[in-house]
Amino acid sequence: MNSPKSFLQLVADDLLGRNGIDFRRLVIVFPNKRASLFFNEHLRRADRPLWAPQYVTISELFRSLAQCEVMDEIEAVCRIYNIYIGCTPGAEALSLDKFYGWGRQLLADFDDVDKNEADAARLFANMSDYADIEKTFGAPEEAMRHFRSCFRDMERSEVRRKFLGLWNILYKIYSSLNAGTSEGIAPYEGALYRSVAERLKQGTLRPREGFTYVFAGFNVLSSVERSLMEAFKEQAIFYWDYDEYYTERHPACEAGLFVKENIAAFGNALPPEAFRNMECSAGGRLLPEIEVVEAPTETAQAKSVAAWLKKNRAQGGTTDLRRMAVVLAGEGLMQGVLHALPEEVDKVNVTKGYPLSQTPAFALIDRFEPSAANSNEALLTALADRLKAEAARLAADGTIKKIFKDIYEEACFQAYTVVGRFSRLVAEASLNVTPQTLLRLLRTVLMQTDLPLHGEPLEGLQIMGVLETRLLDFDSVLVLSASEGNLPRKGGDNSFIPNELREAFSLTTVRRRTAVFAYYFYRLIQRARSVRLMYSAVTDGITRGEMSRFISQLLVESRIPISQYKMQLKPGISGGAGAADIAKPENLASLVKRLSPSSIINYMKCPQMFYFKHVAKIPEPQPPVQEVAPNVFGSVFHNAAEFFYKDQGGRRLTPDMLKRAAKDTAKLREYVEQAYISVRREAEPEADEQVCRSENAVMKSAAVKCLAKMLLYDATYQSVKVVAEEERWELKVDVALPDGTHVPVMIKGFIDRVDEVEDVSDGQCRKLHRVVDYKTGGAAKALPDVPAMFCCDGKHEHYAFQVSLYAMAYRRMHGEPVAPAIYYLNSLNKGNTPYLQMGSGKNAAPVYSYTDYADEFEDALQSLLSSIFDPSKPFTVTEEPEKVCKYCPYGRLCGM
Amino acid sequence: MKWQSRCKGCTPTGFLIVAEKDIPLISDEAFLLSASPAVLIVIDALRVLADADNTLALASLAKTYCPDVTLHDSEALLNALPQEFTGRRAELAAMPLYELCEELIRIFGLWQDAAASNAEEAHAEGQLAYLTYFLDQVAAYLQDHASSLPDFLDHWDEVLSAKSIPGAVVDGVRVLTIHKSKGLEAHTVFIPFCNWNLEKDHRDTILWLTPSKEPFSKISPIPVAPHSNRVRQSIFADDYEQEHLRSRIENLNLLYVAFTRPQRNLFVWGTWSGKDKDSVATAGDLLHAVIDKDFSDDYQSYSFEKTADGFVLETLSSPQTDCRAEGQAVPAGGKQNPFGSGVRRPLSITLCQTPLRADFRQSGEAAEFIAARAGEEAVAESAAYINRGNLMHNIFSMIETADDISRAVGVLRGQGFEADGIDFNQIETEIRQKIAACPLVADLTDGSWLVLNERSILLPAGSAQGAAMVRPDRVSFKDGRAVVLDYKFGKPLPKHQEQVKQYAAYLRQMGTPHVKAYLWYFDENKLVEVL
Repeated sequence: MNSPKSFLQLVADDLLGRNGIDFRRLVIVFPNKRASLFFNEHLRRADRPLWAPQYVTISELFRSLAQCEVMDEIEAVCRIYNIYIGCTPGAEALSLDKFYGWGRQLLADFDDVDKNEADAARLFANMSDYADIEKTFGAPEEAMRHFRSCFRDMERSEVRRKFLGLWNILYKIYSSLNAGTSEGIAPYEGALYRSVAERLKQGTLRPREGFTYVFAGFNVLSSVERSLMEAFKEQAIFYWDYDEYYTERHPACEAGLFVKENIAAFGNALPPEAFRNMECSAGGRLLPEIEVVEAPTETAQAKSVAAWLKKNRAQGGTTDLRRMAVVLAGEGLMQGVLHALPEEVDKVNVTKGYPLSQTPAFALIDRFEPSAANSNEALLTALADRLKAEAARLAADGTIKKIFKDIYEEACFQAYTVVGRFSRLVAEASLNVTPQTLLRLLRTVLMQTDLPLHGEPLEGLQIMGVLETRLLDFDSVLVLSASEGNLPRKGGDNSFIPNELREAFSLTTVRRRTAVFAYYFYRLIQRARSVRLMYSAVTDGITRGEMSRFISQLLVESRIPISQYKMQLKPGISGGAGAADIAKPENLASLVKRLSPSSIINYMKCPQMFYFKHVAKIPEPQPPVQEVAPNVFGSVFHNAAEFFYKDQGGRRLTPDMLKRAAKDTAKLREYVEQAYISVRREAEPEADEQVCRSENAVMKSAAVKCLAKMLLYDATYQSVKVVAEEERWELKVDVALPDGTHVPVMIKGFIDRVDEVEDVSDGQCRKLHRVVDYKTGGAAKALPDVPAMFCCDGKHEHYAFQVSLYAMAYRRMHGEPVAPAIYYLNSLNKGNTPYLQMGSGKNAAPVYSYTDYADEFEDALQSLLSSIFDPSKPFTVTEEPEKVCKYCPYGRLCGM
Repeated sequence: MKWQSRCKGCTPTGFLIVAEKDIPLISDEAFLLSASPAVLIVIDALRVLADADNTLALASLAKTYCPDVTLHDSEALLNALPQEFTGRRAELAAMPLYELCEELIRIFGLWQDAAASNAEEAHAEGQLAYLTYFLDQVAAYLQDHASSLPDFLDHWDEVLSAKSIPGAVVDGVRVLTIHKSKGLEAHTVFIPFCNWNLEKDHRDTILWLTPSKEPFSKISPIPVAPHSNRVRQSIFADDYEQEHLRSRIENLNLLYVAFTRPQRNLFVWGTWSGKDKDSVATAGDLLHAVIDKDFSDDYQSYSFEKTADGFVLETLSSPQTDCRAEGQAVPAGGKQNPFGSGVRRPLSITLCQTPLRADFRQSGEAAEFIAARAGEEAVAESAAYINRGNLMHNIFSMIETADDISRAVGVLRGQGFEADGIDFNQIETEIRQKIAACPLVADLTDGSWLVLNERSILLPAGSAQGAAMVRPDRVSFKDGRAVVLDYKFGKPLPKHQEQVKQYAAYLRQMGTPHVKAYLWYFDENKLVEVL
């Protein structure tokens, strides 16, 4: 079966068949540039060389007629900004980079106004003058009612008031912008087009004598384009592309709207027979064959390209890659497709750009510190130099893959030229902003820049966007992301001009855009033999998991039997594996030479956590230095208390002395400040004292209160004598393992405070020698017995373990009987005992001496340490996952 | 299928698993991106590339990739990873994010595993749903963010790690919260722990209220924590009552949502707070209080069984009263509804991931203008970034007559080459002077010639040169004569003459007998006629 001739082939054959056409004087106007490459292929003759015609886009044609250029968009936005600031009192606060998006929008609106030759003075009239708009324009009553209701209460809302304020100066901006540009340059494309159209109508401009113009493949025409074609009519040949499916058989279909108008106005040089392809019968089937496939994700569509090529081959479709196209209707799939092409695709042509924002050139500008430059000139020079240096570095770098090298170099170059454009604007004083704003503006502009990624235009598989398919025909077409929202493309229809006015003044409307998209869609499939349309079922943010309305329309209207499929990816369920025990390393004793109270506690909580942290020595991720870690309060308090008691020089303090100290807030605050500085400098030795003093005021005043509270509590004793602060201790333990061997283990730590007090709290006076541990957390309950200290069920019992360990170490070192005590700073008062409470229920009583339970404690410690080093016991996971796992950073390693 | 607070130390899932061991229960958390080992491998690899000191990420990566790895042996840790990863870290870290993710998927063999057909790999196959959705998310992220590894990892921690793959269909009982069940329906729905508090205010609610009473009304909205009875005595009492009412309605709405999910059967378990019937504090109390009355005509049978501390409610609909028909009849004579549920047939497609095609030709402007990359005409000793010759070619392509010079220079000026210190005024002057000094060129640009600038000559399809076309710089026609002019911005080379001679030959073939051809060495302003 032969495929129908492509549109470009039809045009080429028609032109070659005409007598008396001098190709040197033949100008072909296509809607895009790419088509010329393909058209040349159709023109080439076997027997002789041939002049190619001159190819221009409609934009180039307008520009060459005008002998005029269009202003750089950045400059135009700067001008709009300056005009806006000039006529809006108090608007100076709005910086240019914030205005930039609006500026572009205004530019787009002005462009649209001019391209459709609307009367700008009347359009941008004061809203109050719109009273008789329906009389003037005959707009539908309902629309006008809605329109009026939107504007009636303008004063009421801030947004509306602001809009009205802007609306009322729009004409001023429009006219100042157009009046203020010099000869030979137009502020935007529409202004240039419009002046050409006017001069063509007046007859002061004419098409070039002796030249023939061909207009091929256009669809919707703006008013200025229509004017140009009218003026060129005598010297022009018109070719319109369509299918009778949507112009004749389904006249309601929006795709045919403009083509019908255009043919009526200009005629078509090709006969209607050439446009009967859709729904035509071939081999007993109606063409094209259409499959609609719902995919579970966007990327799944991209990754199905190979399968599509294979299927195509299997079903006897074309194997000529040039006759196949992968069309990306959405954004963001291009890269996924490039990573999904099978071996047999030896050549690729991509017509979508690669985002500049994903390259090192952008990162370089993105991270540039504007304070490094004191003027715009210096900033731009510095950036240009860095980009050049980056380009040189890339050229010399041998590790980067060639394709990325090419892309990165291109990015440097493009960024470099954007910097150059800014340099010119700065030099001409059009861009008068601070370096900070300039840099943000530069980022904004670069963010919108794509890098051309062409490959082999005439060979290889075509991977293109919907717009690039204009004029081209393919046998097999795969459309990806053909979802509602992409076809037609949502967005891009923002405007300052309300829709009713757009209708009334014949500007571009959403309806018109939709019709244009419909045309692209049908045109893309009208000569194809097989078409697969894919969309994803994902509803995510603004993407609706629905097929394009054009597909729905096909399903309802066409006689072609369309197969619908749903592609499935069954998700696997992981995490069922559960945690496995970890065997003890043979060299455990050499891996763990030293233990600390907290590492032992970690073992009690979860042996595997102990393994990850203290055996495999995988550090916990640390928060960034600048941030105050959650445990900072505790450290600050500890240090402040230490500093205070150090200053007392180990003298015996009476309640009066302590009460006085507690009242001296200024002095306490200084202890806290010093404590804070010491904590901050642990993380960041260079931390500035003044900066430290200015930080965390709330936390510091809490620490001051806490310190005062503790001193007042200490004042409830007859006397307090602190004999040591932050006392360092070591404990050598010979751990006996069940197999009879011994492992020497060193445990090291610090005691917050060692003191001697006269405690009179229960009526009798006890002289106690204590080891005191400060706790900023909540208080623990009474312990039933010693083994309870070793079980970790989340009720802070390890505090008792910890302080008992201190007592054990202190007793070993000093041989004195000591009382372990814990200061729970949150609930420190006379009624709450600081001593460990043992026994259950009403029998719970304070323990005044470690000696009372030392034997039992030390046996239990032995057996705990033995379990740590016993090679036959693997490291297991915690028995209390609910309490332990929540904040454990090692969750990924144990499989819980 | 809903719980809000945990019940006596056991999670509801745990509770149900104990109840029925043979029925798989699948919580929505199973479909989180962060539940997929394949995705986690990519993320950990990214972390390692972003921060070489991140030992935890390296350990997680090795452990996920190779579960038997010995973590306390740092050498074994590295050896567990693919050589291609450990050996190419610097290069990988320099890749754009999207390409990097695809490359990591390839290096760690995540896709190959996924596509493997043997039964042992069936587990890995399920990773495709996650990987493709993950790549969707990467692409979406890059739509409006720069390609920065640390920033993307933050985005993962804050947003992506909590995302579930959409529309997962599985064999088993799905466990999900009432909020997540909105819009879904199921044949049978179980609602355990149907005893959430209807009255209690959420602890973390903060109301932003504007005091209405003078003089406080002068302050802007202030945050008020409503979970204290003191609010009821404050000037915010009305606001509080309103909020309280709203949250009560919200709690009732939850019950409504939960009860309207089943197509057929509903099973509800709950407790009540045990007080008198008039005090309705929880959803359980509410059911307890109203259930004895007429329940619903839709259900032929229901049972409400009180237990020691709670209740079990079962409703089973009979087929007769089920108003949802299973299949929809095709209307007589009509075409089958193209949007009907049965229309879409399942399709299994092999998804293929390949390395990036590396055979692109750089065709961007950089290749053309960057001095270091442009062809041999680049002046080697010049340190310029921009290639002057190609810049000039570009300008000349826009000059038909001398009148075009200013505009042509202006176009290039607008493209931002000035940063390289190129003086366009000087270029314009130079062009004018050299044209004026060269009578032939002055003649060719006087407007009396038909000028074809960079116009292609399409060569015969089987031509010996192999090229499809050639493009002389400038061909001018007048009175049956043609003049070929090629601009050169470097030292003369023999092949320049060959090239121009060939152009002249093509022109004769195309029917212009009188052809002259010249090379114009612009820098020395030397015109060489080629014979």
